[in-house]
Amino acid sequence: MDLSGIGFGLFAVISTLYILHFGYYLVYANLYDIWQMRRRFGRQLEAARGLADVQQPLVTVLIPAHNEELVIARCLDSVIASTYENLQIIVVDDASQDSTPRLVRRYIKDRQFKPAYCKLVAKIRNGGKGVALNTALKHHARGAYVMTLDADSILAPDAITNAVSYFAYPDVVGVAANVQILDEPTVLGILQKFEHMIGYRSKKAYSLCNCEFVIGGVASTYRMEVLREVGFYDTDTLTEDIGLSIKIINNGNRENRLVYAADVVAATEGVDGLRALLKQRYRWKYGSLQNLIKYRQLIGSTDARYTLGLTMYRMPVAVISEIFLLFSPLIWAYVIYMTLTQYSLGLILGAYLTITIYTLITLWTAEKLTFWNQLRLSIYAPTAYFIFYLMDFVQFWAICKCLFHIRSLLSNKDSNSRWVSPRRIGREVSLS
Amino acid sequence: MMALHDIFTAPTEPSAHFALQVYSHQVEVFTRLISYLAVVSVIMWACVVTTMLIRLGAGRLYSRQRLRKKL
Repeated sequence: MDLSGIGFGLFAVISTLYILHFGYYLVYANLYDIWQMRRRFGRQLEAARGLADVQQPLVTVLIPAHNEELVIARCLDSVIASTYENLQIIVVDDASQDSTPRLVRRYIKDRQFKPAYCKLVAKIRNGGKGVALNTALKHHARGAYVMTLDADSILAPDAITNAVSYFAYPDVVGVAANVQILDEPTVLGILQKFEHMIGYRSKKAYSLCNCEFVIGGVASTYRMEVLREVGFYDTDTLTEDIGLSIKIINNGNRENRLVYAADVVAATEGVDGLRALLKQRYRWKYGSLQNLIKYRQLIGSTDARYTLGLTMYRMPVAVISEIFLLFSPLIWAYVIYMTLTQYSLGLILGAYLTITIYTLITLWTAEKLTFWNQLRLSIYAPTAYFIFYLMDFVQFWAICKCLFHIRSLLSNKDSNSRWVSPRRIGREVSLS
Repeated sequence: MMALHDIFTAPTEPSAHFALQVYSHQVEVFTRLISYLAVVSVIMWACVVTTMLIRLGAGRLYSRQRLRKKL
């Protein structure tokens, strides 16, 4: 076989894998939606017939905060507006330098909340997000389930009720929420909104195949007993949330299942500048790589405690994607060069239409998105293909920066789940 | 503007002949690749459309009207 034959084979295999992957997301997301409809129908039927379980186990909502004076009241308002009643709300202030603790104290005092319902845990020394969460979990949380919520986020009123309903499945130990980006009329705002929507669509597929291992920090809910069993958050990586979910999975994902819950809706602020986005994505990339290295024994493992979907597909694909990312400029250059020199726009047009149609399908099947928002975002959908290139660049930049720090990455230095909060906007919004 | 294709189709030296041969081969390979990917894409979209139709059917099956009927 000559060189171009090898090139053709390689490129064909990679492209086929991409297309099949794409199809897998779309097909399984549809199957997930059918499962969700069936679940919701069953719950409505039970409720109407008076068969639903009326007992509400205590849920602890943990809100770690560090300099969040602009957004903390908005976050608390959304939790208090929840339809779920048996709550314990804990705000952990990690030595803020602004008026966050004072605002929370006043918030609690004004509403005359009892400490059993809502309290502030004020730390004197700043220890990072993971340490703050662990302090509250070890010494203050009493709930059977724990939901963590970032201070710049808000919850939909039925989010906690819906999250708890997933624990009716005995093997479910963690529930990932459907986190949306609050509306921002900028290119970066739309980019992050599309990215979240599309990213969560792949979570539907992973969830159905029980191969999910990443749960973010916003509105994720866990069984308290499982958190105790694994020893709460690790503080030796930059992303303590991914660290916790993969640590739970490490105990065997057949019996410790993580699910994505499309009906557990929360919204968070996106970052408002390219520099902040680059910084955020670098931190996420570095933290993900740290966790992949830390739990590398899961890749290709044949241990019966894990599903093959996790060890033979999801985790290897996570590693391979990072490697592909490094070569992405070469692939773009090849495709653009050949397309221009051949006077054929077939490939680019095919890719463009695929991304645009995919974005439109995602938009029109998205949960909790009003008709007018779907219509408004559909206008932007034709630009999705181009703005995703921007995200590709951001991801490429992040992986290159990680490579520059490969030594500290491999030796797990520079590893502290410290606070890196982008600038907050703090607009009045609600998800009801 | 003179396109790259025109440069290759006006060979004057042996090295240009060789470059033309390499280029034509690349074009052939690339065309094969596009047709191959098109077939894979069609199969993929067929699966997607089928499950979308099933999803639409499920939407009717688990609708509010049906819930009212069941009650």
